[in-house]
Amino acid sequence: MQQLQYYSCGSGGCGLLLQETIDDINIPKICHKLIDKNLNDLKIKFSGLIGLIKQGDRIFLYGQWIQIYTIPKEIKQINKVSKFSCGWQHCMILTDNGLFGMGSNKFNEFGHQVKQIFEEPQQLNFDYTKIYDIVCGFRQSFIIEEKFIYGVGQNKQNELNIINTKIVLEFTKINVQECIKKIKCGQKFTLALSYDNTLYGWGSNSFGQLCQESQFSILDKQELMKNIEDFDCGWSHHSILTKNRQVFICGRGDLGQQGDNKKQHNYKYQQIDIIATNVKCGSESTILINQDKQEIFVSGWNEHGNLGLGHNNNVYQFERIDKIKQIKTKGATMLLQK
Amino acid sequence: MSVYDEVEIEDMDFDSTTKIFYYPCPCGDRFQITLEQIKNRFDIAQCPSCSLQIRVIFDENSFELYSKQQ
Repeated sequence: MQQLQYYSCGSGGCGLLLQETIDDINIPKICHKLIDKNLNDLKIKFSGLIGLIKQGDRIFLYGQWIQIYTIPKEIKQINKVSKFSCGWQHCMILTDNGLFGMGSNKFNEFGHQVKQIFEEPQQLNFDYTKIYDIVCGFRQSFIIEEKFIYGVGQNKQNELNIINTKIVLEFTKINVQECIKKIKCGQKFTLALSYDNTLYGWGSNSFGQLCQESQFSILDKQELMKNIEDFDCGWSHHSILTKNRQVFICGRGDLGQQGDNKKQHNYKYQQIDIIATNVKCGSESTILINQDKQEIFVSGWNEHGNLGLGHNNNVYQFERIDKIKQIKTKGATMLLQK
Repeated sequence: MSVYDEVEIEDMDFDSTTKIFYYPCPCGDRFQITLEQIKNRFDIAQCPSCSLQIRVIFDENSFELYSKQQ
């Protein structure tokens, strides 16, 4: 059986391309730093700045921490890793021995008392035995338990749905009655999916990223759509896939994020006439995946060649790329599996 | 001038040693503007890695406030 191989393209300056260079790449290139590794054993997550690789129960960092790591470096203080998540400049790691935060806590991203960037993992004061999942956002962190969710960090635009505070100092229960199974974050907004597959959102709506026509900020959880199969957030837009395979996008559109050739923000969901099995967003781009046909459709900001089309021009209408099995994208970086 | 976004100065990360304000750029690099530029009422922060720029929102007290930080 032929083994899958990772390819990368986009912004290379942070070392997230897993290549020998930190130059931008606009044609997907095989990830040199992952050659000879058993890719079936790897789990990779990254944001626009930092990345983590889980191999077995060990974890490695790469990307722009205090310094740039183009070669993944093991975080030796931590093992028996079960879950991990990358925010813009911070991460959380859950192990059999506790919950850890690492990276920037300058904006109280993971609720440590000291506001600085940590190169070493810091154990966080939370009952880790009941954690179902952990999620890091732009300058926030979330913990998902079976019945409750908790948040910490910046809340200026109500990113945490916790009233009357611009910054939440320690993990605090979020006012959501529904049981939440998945959370994803934009730059200043948050989406949460409940167990009955209803999508909710709160935070900034300045570009229509929360699908509301007349409100700048959403100060209480808003129901956005039922029957959700998949969803993802860009910085100021989001895309959804429903159970009956309809794709919708709303929010910022001036850089091609909507893929409709109009360069306009959409304050209501706009349906996209493309069949997809998954949806993904870069910071200012949208990628629709059709795993059945092994093709992806890309549109949006492409200044760093992050759409993998072999050029650096923005794309305003979805373009197809063939022979791609799966992708990961965040910021201006894309990791593809062929 | 067309800017990518507007950001309040309190949301920027201020390095009191270099006297430079930073804010994340969607490309992974950081928009930057100096305290001296703020003093001169220049309000455009540039990303060194791409074409995007942001407008920094500040008031007449901002320079004095941040110039005291060590």
